[in-house]
Amino acid sequence: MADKELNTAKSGYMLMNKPDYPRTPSWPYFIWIVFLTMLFMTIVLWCIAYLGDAPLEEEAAWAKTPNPAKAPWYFIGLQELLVYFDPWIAGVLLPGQIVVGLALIPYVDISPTAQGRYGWTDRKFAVTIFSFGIFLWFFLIIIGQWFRGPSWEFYWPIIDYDIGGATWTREGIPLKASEATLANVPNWIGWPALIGFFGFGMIAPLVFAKVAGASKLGKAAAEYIGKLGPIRYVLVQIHVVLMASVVAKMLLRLGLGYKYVVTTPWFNV
Amino acid sequence: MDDYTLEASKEAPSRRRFLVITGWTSFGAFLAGTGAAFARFFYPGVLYEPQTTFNAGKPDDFVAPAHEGEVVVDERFKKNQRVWIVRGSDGIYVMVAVCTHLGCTPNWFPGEQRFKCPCHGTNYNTQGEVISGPAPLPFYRAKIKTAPDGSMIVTTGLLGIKRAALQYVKKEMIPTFTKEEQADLSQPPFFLPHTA
Amino acid sequence: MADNEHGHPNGAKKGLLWSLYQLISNNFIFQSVFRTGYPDTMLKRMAVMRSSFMMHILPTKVGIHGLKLYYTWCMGGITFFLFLALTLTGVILMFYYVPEEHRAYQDMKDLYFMVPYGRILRNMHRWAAHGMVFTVIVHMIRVFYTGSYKAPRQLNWVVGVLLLKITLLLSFTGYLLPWDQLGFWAVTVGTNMASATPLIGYEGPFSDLLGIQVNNDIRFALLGGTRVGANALIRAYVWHCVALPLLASGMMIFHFWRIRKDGFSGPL
Repeated sequence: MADKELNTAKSGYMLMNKPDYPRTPSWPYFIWIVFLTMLFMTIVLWCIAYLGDAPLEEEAAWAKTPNPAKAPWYFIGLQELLVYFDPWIAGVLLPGQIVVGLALIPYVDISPTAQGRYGWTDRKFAVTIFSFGIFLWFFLIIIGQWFRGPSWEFYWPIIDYDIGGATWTREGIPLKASEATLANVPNWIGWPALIGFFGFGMIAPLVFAKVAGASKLGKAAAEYIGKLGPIRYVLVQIHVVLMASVVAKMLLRLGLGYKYVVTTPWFNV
Repeated sequence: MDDYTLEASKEAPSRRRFLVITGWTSFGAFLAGTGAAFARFFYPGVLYEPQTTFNAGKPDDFVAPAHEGEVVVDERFKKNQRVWIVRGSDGIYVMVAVCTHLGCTPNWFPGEQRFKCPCHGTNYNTQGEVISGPAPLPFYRAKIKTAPDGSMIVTTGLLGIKRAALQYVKKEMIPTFTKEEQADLSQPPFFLPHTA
Repeated sequence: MADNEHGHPNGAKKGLLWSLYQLISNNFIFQSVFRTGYPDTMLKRMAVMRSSFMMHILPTKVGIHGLKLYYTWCMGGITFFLFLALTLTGVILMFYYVPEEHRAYQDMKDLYFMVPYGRILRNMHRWAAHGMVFTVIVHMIRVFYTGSYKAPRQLNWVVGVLLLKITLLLSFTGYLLPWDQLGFWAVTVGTNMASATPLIGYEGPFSDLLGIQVNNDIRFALLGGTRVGANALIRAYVWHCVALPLLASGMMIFHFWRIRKDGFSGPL
């Protein structure tokens, strides 16, 4: 059925494109599902709107910021990132990276298998990375929404007690922002560490495939890298390493009390 | 370019080719110009925002701190001008009540002698330097001039005096003031010596 | 048209409803609107989908997996439904709301206490907006896990990612409109992030090199001023009520057209 020259070929991997695939007219069965879904959603929306008032606080005042000032839930992940990164990273670079990374997915994952069904066995790597990203996003949302209180300190949800504070982590590096004295990593350690982290991150899978080449996992990794090819490998690995670096920086802040890894006259990381 | 234009430019390289190039270049320039004008449209030419220069009253109106090393932060101009007038034991300075992180209004806690930002938890000391939290810079300072009747004329500028306006080449992006900056900030126009 | 073209499906017993349908449908005016007749044969069932303007957005025939709820969870469809609900409630709310610094908040209070059904309309609009952000995210997650972004659907996935971004921008611009503390500070923080953009934001790295100040950077263009004030409110209003919905509608048309061309993704 395909016209290869015009690039309109439908994927032959999909059962629904095979001529003998069982089909049924949309009327009435599919229309019925659509109709019932709309009806159901209308009822749900009415009930929610009837039972719960939408939030409305006091009139906007320039000089008084509510404490805590929380973003809408879908932006709380970003707000939480802002604690650990300068705004140009947390507010511009990382959101941009998320959008670009999402848009790149179909162009780096070109394996035609496992299409049109929930699958794990054929695409363990893709599912793992994507799931981790989604998990991280919602994890930050939950932390920000329920575990942050006045002055953006850690608090337990519902009850008003703050989390342990000074006794929570090891001495001198309390979790409580107002009691923590943060240090910067000296540049002579920071620069090599940063470049080393990203440099090693970029080649880590290659090294793994070489070292563990004999094992089953090593073979799978080598095969996967081979299929990706150099350009797609670089694109994928940049995003994987960036995601890992976000977690690493958060751990550096919470565990060791470091604010910046690298400081320069123009920007800090 | 389609086959026709290619063919045409081969046959008559001089005039037709010139017209094709000129035509498309003009069209491109027109599109680019329109795009730039559209972007420029979003930058208003006149603003109807509050005055950034105001009279803050006489220095004697501000109470001196009871203990050495402490300050009294006056919030009476916070609502309209978004500044704190800070009275130390040897003078007065004015800080812009905008968190340098993302622009929230921090709160003053006299007991702890600290400013705390509710949005992301930055803590500032009485000089406006960052003690903890994510803010990258100290608070912006406003300039104080003395009017003939002795009252203070405070200028915040559009957003207070940025660190860059202290006339130093930025040596390091640090959340505290350098020695040179501290020296500059302890004299007029950023500081009004006043005792008694 | 003859009576037998509007025959009863499955030759079942003719009841009262059927007689009523006959009464309404057996004339030229009805048939000029609904031209296929009662869809009781395979041919007419397909014709009814093809010839109806409202329904040609849906395929004439679907694979049986398309009917299974656990495959799509109806998330894309619910997102579109919520978009329609938001458009409807939003347009109605516009009759009362004035985007002016000193009036906006008072209008919200009026909607709450004085406008008949104003409160439930505003509640529906707000909750549907939250719901739409949620369902569009779940829709994206579902499309990923079923591998439905793979060839030939790559471009549609990219359009979907952009639609997710527009949905977030719609929510964000709408957040400011009530002019309460919640929206005011969310927008203050959000636009200050824009001012941290490298080169074109006045607090971003390297902006000094271009002479970028608080009154000529990217945040200034978004707010129409140096602070979140009257200009910012009217800008948020226009983006929220006109520009972004138009953009979203255009992209949705493309999104759905592409789905119709490629069909629903199915089991391997």
